[in-house]
Amino acid sequence: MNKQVFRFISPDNIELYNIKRGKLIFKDRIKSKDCAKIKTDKVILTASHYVSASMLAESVKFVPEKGQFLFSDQSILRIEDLIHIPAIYDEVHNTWKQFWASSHLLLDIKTLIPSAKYFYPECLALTEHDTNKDNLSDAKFLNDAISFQPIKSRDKNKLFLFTLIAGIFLAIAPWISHWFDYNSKERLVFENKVLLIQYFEQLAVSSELSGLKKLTFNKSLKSIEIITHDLLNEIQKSEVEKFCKELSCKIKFDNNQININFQKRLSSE
Amino acid sequence: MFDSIEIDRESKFSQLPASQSDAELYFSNYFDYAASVSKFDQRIITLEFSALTNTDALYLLDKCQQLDTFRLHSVSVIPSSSEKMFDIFITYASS
Repeated sequence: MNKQVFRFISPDNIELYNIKRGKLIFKDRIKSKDCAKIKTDKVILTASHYVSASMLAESVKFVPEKGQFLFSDQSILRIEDLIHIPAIYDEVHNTWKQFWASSHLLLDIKTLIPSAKYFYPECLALTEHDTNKDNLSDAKFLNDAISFQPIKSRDKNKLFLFTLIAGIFLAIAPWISHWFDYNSKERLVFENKVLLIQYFEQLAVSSELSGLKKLTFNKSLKSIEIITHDLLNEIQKSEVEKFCKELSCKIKFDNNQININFQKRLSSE
Repeated sequence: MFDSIEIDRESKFSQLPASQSDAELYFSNYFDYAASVSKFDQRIITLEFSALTNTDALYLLDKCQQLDTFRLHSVSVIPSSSEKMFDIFITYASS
């Protein structure tokens, strides 16, 4: 289900893409009647299906909460029909940006594409998009981009479903605590973000490292091991030492091998 | 090597694929790229990806950090024997 994505232009013009190594590959142009056959929960919305606006961070003077809509004076949608995503801070322009859409419109699209759950504003979900092409082929799709997720259901049997689920829940209640214990033991989640990569990028620029033979980011030891083809010259060594001093990390030189340990700095990683 | 790999010898993978071929299938599917498993036991899995372009190498570096089922132990990047290509070694460890 996760390897395809629709791009909704109009009910009679929907593009289907495969996602290959994070990039979109154009597959087909279809009509809405054919959408039900394809199971994907992701839909990219073209710009005419959502609205965005931004305002200077100074004029907000507070950090907006997730559920807060900042542009009620600019939206012509009725508040009960409005769906928005949390405001996004743009560090470069020092602004808060927010996207919103008609909940009714998204549910209409969902009727055409029943498996759809996540509706991505096109300008948030794509990078490296060649605007000269008539489709999005080769654009990078950001799977973790923020999306609209209309939660309202038009199901007339909602109350019945709720009662049914509540009944099942009560029936299995005696086993829930056991099931929860079992699952919490089985499913461990690891935070695998490697901050060392960002540090190395800074170091490579400042000390003009070149001729790399092997580069290892060791997250367990919080260290970077760099092996170069040639010995570092005195200027490069001095730059590496300066970098390490600024970041409070330990450094070891051994011929053409450098080991930088960030244990102290990344003790909370 | 300056330091040895520090892995808890008692701890085992909580969701380890059943065999090396299962692991290759699992990781190839996750990374969308042919993965070769060079080390596989109860505590450590090392994956090899060969002859990657710069773009593909960056993609894999990003993708390996997003997987939260296993603990990322280390990532190594080595220039490949082919010009302007890279080999990447990703090691996941038990907790």
